[in-house]
Amino acid sequence: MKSNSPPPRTVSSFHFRRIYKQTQKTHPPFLGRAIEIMLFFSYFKDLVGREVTVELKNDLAIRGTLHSVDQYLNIKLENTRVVDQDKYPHMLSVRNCFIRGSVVRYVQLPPDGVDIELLHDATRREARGG
Amino acid sequence: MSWAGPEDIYLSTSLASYLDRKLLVLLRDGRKLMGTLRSFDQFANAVLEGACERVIVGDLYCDIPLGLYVIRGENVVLIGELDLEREELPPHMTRVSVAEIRRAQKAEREETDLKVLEYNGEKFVVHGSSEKAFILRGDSYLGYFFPHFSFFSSVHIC
Repeated sequence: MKSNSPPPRTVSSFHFRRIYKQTQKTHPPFLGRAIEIMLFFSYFKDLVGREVTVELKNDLAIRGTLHSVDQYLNIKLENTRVVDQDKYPHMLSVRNCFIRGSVVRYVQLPPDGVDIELLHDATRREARGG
Repeated sequence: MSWAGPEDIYLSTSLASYLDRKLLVLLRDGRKLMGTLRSFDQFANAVLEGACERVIVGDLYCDIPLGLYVIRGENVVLIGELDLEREELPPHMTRVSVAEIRRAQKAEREETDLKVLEYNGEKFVVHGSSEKAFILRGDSYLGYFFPHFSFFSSVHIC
């Protein structure tokens, strides 16, 4: 049986855990929302400043720097450019945007932006009720 | 949407930094509204002053003035800040009148609208563009065909 000791803490994992604990205090889950939402909120807060591509349910894909995220997973992007610019001419001069969380299909992250073990660990803790 | 203190405006995801700016709002039904944001709330409901709808069909566009608009947040897809220094649209696009853009919209719609074809005395509903069409008889799906490759003895469009 694998031992249940927590994985060694790296610098980034410490940072994420601090944000995660902070988020639990400042944003307590309210009626109807699962406590697991806080995990992704904290995770996105850790990703602020990275370049992401947000694909929306209406098939529009926008690349930009993650400026901020909130408890509804609304996303604010800076320095945006649309992936298929010719198909969406109206977006030409939009450089910053606010994207409502409910219309996001995917958030494409940089490959080195994902610490899989960290997420697994946090999810396991959530599932355990921690 | 988080409620932030005055100094947090630059960091949080609230729409406060967009107040009194000219914005492009994309709605779920595909409409594009432009206007000045005057008010918002936690559901992304918004009040746009001097709103106009920008209708784009191919290379044609038209701005239809709407006035003061209150948008329900659930219909909002994206709120983008328009950079006044940049061109809002590519230069090859031409501005046309409301009547003409409506005509262009109608033509675009008819391309993909349902058409009823009569063949061998039977009526079929054909859905799709001139590239690929689906044949339906009542509730059943009979198949698809490519109109420019198909041969019909007589086709009547009802």
